[in-house]
Amino acid sequence: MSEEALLRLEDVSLEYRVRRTDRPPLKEAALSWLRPTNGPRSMWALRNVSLSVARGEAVGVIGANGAGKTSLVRVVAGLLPPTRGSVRRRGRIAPLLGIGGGFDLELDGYENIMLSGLLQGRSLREIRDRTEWIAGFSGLQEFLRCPMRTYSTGMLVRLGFAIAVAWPADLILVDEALAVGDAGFLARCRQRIDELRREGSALLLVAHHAATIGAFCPRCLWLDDGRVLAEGPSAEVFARFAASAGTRADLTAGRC
Amino acid sequence: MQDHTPESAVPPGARLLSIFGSPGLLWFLARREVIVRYRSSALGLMWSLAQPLPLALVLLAVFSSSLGSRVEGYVTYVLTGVVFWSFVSHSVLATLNSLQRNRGALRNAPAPAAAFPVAAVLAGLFHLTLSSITLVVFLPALGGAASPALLALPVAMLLTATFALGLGMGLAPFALRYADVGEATQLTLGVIAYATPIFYHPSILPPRLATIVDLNPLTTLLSCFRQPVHAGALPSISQWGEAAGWSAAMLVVGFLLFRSQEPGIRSHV
Repeated sequence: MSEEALLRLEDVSLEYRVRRTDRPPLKEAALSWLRPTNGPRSMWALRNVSLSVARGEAVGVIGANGAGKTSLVRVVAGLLPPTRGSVRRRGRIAPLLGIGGGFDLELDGYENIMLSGLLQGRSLREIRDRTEWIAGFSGLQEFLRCPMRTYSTGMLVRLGFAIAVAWPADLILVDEALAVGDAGFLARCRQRIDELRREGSALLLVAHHAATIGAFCPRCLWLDDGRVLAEGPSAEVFARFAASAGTRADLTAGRC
Repeated sequence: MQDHTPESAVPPGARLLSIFGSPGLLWFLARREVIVRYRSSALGLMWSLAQPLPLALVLLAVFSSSLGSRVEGYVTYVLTGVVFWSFVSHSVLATLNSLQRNRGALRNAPAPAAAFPVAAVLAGLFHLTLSSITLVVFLPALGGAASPALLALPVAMLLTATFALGLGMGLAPFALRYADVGEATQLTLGVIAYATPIFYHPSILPPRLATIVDLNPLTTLLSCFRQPVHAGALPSISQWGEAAGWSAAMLVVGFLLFRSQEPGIRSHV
């Protein structure tokens, strides 16, 4: 691993054991104990994925639904251990996974700032010191006393992103969350990401849309069925991804 | 590299934080359990105090004349039993379900999974403290008397909380995977309630049943909780030893079970 690499994945594979929905899990466990072929089926979400992210880099991950993007981010965040391969990470990770993920919708905005900060390993003092900054960045000051169940999806994303980038982190992980932000907020996000990158943070951004990744990441990885199909400058990867998507659309149309 | 730090190089304090989460996180999660539950109700925490009352009143109404004649100060005897049991059953079930109730956080945040069961018991301990204080305040009105032995009450409460944490924590990863575990635990707790001298004195039981009740760890824990309030006396050293032994054993077993299942927890949320 080079001196400045913050993250290195080597031949990472992730297997899920998917159970049949028509059987209660306990019954399935008992049946698979009696006859192993009755057990949950295996599904590989990631297959031999290798990736390296250096300090200050911004790398995008693109792919269709079910390609393994979210699984990749969860492995990188340390939430799921890889079934095979190694994950080596250096320093602090700031994850923003999913829209509103980790928030308690019964609590108000201020309480959720505290909750999310604590869940990310920040101290009470660190969170109190940054609460007003988070409120300002999200632009939600007047709503932060309301329960979060009253927030729109866009508001959840604003607050989630503001919390994720409130403190300098070595690696910022963003999964899909920027897809619903308005243009003004995206510009603010971009500005803050650039600021953090200049300070040495790296970004790993997952999205469906090339435009979202193109706005942040010069380098991109294309995942399909858990495999890396292409990696390189974002424009080149997007072109191949778009061509493939077109082909797939044609094939689907043909089939219909 | 973060993933390759040898365990021995990590200070014990940091290792504990990585297993259970920071004190700040535990405090906030426990506080949330209390706040969210009562936030939209007008009477707030009064509901927590009122909860054991209906059962206590029914037991007193039904058994005062029969079982009550065998126990001096039957009112405080039953009230301590009901408060104790309501803490045990509520804490075990809350701990057991804590991972399910925090699926979102487990899916998306790198916080230690053990923080959720611990916070569930801490919230229960808060309610138990509140109920115990109320019980002690009303003790003279209930025919009892405050005594220095009451100072031992927090120790009995902590031992009971430790026992409930071990039991709920050990079962929580299985409850996440198998819905049957929660149902079976609820049913079993219902049976154990009758094997715990909540409203009867063990002396009324035939020898065979008395042995079963005597072997029940919750009988010892209840005795440590009840004696300072009901009898104004300290439990014996052997009772303390037995209660501490059961609590420590349950915590160790529950913790080891939890740790053995921990790597798979986030795949099931």
